[in-house]
Amino acid sequence: MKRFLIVTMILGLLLGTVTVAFAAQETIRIWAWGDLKTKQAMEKMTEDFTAQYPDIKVEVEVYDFDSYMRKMPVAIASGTAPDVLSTSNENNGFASYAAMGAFADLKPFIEKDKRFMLSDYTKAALDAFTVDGKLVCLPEGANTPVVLYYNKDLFDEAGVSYPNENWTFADLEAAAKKLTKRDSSGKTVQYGYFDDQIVWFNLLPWIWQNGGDLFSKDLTKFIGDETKAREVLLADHRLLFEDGVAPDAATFTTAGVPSYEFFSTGKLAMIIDQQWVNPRFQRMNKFNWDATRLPLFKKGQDPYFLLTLGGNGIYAKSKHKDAAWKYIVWWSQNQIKLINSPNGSNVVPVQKSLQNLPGWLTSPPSVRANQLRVQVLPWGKTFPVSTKYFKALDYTYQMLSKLWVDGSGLTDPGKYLDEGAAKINAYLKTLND
Amino acid sequence: MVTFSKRKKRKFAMAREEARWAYIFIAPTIAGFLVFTLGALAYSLYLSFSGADLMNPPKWVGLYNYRMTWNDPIFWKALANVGIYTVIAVPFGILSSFFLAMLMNVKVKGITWFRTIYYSPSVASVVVTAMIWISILHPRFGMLNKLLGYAHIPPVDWLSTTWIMPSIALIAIWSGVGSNMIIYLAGLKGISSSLYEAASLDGANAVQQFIHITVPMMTPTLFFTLTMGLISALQMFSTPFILTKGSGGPEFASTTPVFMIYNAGFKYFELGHASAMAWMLFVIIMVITALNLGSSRRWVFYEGGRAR
Repeated sequence: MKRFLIVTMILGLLLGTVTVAFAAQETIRIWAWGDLKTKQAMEKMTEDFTAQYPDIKVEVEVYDFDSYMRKMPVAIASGTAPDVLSTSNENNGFASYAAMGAFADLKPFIEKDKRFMLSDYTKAALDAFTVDGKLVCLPEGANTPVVLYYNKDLFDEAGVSYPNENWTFADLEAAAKKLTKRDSSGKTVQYGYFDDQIVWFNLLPWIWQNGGDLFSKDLTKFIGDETKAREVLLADHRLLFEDGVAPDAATFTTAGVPSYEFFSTGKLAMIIDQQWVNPRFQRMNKFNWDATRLPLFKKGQDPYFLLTLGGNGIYAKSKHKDAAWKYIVWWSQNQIKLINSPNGSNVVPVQKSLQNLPGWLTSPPSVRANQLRVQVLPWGKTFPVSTKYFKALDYTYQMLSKLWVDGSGLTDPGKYLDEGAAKINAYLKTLND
Repeated sequence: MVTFSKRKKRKFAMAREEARWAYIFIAPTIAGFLVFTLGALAYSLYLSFSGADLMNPPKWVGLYNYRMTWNDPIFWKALANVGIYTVIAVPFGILSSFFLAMLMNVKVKGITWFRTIYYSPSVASVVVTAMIWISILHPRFGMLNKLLGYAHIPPVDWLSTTWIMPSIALIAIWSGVGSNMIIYLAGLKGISSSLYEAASLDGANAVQQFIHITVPMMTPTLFFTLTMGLISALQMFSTPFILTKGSGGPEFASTTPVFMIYNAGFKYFELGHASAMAWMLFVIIMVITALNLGSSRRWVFYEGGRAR
């Protein structure tokens, strides 16, 4: 009798499993990009998701960034894109996908989902993914608020006080000069400052803080040559090339050396970068370092910055939109906890309910920087969701490139900016035809 | 008579049978060509008259894409860039390959080793080649400027707006010299030695032999490499793309038409615009090739009369 019971129970369990397996009919496909850490986080997150929603089967594939960027257009063109489209707002990819209608409008799902709180999200983050009044992606975390990393040992050695959130561009320049060292032959052996190769990430915030912009709102005119923006562009050129405190960007772009390598070898006192370099810096034990917010351009200005975000939307042609919705909500609420482990990339959550999670705030030594980055979230500005804008930005980058790449031979940067402005305006005209 | 006609008939039947098999054997290739080359070609022509992205059915827009390309200053800049590149890379590439082939045609010990060495750049991947040349041409850390410095020549920014296309041409000459050398070498080996023997009996010296035998006999080969060289030069893409990390800069100085086609198609997903540019480039290449073909009857010599 006992044996019979056991057999029945085992059979019952087996049958149960089989039923569950049969019930798990709905399968959604997810593609993401990232490194091994992201992959592990995605897998863990998916495991938890499946435990919560056993009737949804999730197939996750994580690619490196370049492969992802190559695969996605092909998948969309052939109608075989995954149910969830993962994207970020700082490149033209999102704008292009949105323009062709690749994303489903999230409004009906938000209205149906009683537990979902849209008000929990920072407004700027939602705006970044709103196209023609429709929210098409749920932000998953902010990944740029630009950070100034500094080598504490070099500061101590030079007797310069550490950067803090009250720093301005002038402080940055003065410190950079003191922190640049040359040997007897005049060769620079230690640089004071460098910014990331993607110039807009710190130039645009400074231009915005100073009250300027690159283009008029309707994208018909280049205004980067007008006083407010001009001041920033020329100051940055002076810092990079005339002060002689920075290694030339050409050094990095053409030698294939990532800029952060100069910092991690202790040859650079300050670097402005995205916080994805955090884990790299955390792994090295050569010197003491810390991080603070991007300095303001001038004292008392609002700390505007370029808000770049990861976000996930539902593929317009997906047959499992409801399941996909559940997944992107899960993604937006849970990945942050997994990624922001002590060695993680320290993505800043854009939901108020997540901003005080202990996990990422306690990851030393960039704690302070993280807090500062949360504080400035309301000042986040985003790129317009427009391929035209990205074309204009590409063109501007080319035409003014000597302001930030290999501009040491430039004798009159002001004149160069004026000439560039004329060309950019001509281009905007053709763009708007 | 009867037997003859019978044999003829049988021969005819056999030929037909053979032809049928031939068609069967080439059918897969022809089918592939029709679908994947001619079909794609026709579709891209259709796309060039439409606004097409990746998702939605193409919408007919007439000549809009062509007008846009025509009015785009960057497109003309890109054409000028490949123009500069072609004018440098093609003639100098041919001259250096030809010169090298002449050298490699000399019978000395270990010549096969030399041939291998000179051919090796052709085997290296474009990425490797670009990386090597960056380290040579880099304005600040490059070997070339260091060498110039020893000769008291001021450093030149080889990757600047003025110099980047010539630099790319130099890279292309270096990496392409081997493959053309092989073709020329085959051509040189094909020249009958009896011609040289006869000439030397008549008292012609080496220079005269070169001008009156080698060059005319090589013109078909030169013509072939010139044609192929022109076409591939005008389609330049990978070296500037890798050299500038996909930017085509500075100030669009290294942007080429194919570069723009790539960006329009795979960066901005404007398939119609990309197709229109591709067709404009196609027409330009076709005209240049036709001119080249037309000129060939003046200077290309075919042994045993014109092959028509």
